[in-house]
Amino acid sequence: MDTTIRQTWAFMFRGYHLTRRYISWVIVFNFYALVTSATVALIGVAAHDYQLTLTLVVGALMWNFMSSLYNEIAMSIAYERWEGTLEYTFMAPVSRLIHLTGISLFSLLNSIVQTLIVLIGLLLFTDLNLRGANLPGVLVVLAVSTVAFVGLGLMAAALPVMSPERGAEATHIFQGSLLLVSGVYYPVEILPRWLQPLSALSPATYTLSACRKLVGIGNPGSMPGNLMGAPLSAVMREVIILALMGALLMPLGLWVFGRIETWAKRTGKLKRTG
Amino acid sequence: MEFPAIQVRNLKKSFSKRDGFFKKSRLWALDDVTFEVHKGETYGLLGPNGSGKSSLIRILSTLLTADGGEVRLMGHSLPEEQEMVRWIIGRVSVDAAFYKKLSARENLLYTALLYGQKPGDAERRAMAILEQLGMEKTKFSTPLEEMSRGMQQKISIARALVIDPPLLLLDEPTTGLDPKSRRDVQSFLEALRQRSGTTILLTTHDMAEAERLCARIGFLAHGKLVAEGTAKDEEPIEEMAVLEGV
Repeated sequence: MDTTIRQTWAFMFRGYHLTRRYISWVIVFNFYALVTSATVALIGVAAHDYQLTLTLVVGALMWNFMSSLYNEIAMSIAYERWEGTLEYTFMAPVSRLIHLTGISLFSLLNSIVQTLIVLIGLLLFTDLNLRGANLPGVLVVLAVSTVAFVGLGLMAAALPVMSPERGAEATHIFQGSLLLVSGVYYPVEILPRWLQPLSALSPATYTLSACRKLVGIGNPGSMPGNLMGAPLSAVMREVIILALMGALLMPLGLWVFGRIETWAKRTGKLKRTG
Repeated sequence: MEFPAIQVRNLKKSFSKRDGFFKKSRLWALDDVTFEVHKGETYGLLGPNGSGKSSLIRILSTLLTADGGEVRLMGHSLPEEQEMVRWIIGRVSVDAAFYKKLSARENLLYTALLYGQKPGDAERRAMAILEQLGMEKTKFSTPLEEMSRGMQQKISIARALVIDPPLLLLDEPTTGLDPKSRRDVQSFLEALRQRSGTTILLTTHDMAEAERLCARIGFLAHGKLVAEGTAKDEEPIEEMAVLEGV
């Protein structure tokens, strides 16, 4: 048990020290995330529409959290390829489950911190008052959707194992596609009809839909400073779908990663650095 | 029953190479390689670039799957028992691959944690190894990117030894080092074998290095083990080395 804990801690230890050493880049990325989110939220402020502002703020916060979680996990293998350390991690006596759990835990902490920074920043740009929103319900939805996003991240993390150059590019294409189809800043109904079925496959669609209801967006009774957030029972459909997606995507992500690792060892792809 | 530390029989490994859009050919990296290394022995593998030395080390390190043949490390078969094998091997590659922004201490502690070691114990062991390799204590907190190639390679050796493995796989550990660093590393490896009885498989381009460190030497050319002998009985090896331009 001690060994398992130390091995999991190894990835948190590494992530913490890399964050510390690359702190200037961390500040730049957080600044960019904050400015992008504020720019989007100010569209609602300019329209003098509180519901629109809330819709955009919730979209920006949720997208920051989900994309950061996905991206950190997906890129963790690409970072190792660039540093050339992937072979040393793969030859250590660490099960892939512990390896990827360690990476995911650090990514989760990192995403929570980044989302809090964006939230605090948005409070400076908008006249937000979330009184009446069902915030505990939002946390439950986020916790459930985290599992699904970790699963997506694990699948994407396998891509740089296949190809250092193309793999990292593909993870960003996939991330961009999720942004397009998940209704982050607009209802998915305005997407072209041929694209709409894809939104049903994205966990982000259900996370955003549930969070907006829980905050009180779309409820005619919601007023600035007195929101009428829905109870958790009103979003059970979304929660169940997210739980099912997590139950499917997490083991699928581990399986895909394992298959690609086996392939890379057969074809000699592990030795390449990006 | 006593078994060899490394047992390789009829090992084969090929890679697919694309010739044009549709056509593929196979390139044999290892072709029917057989050898054994006894416990506590230092065995050298000489060979030119592309002879299959690194592929062999990668197979033994569980990073590459062989096409055929049999590999046993300390009695554990690969790839079936790779989880066990990973606990007993340390590897140093020709390129000192690290998180370059992290310090030597952070890189070594990360490795120690991966192997489930207590950070305090690992830190003390790493410090002792680095001192034996002639590194100053003050360098322990310096980011790797600020270190010379020789110093990085010494940290790489410390990384392999911080887990105290009975079997050490060294893939050209002194390539690119200045003469002083090269001597430091060679002296350390001699002392290590005498002190700890560590089994060492060393690949190198350097005939003199192989003669100094290795009890037996094999010569690998075009994926085949074409000659094998002791350091004293070096004539066939030297002949092959001259023929292959090593």
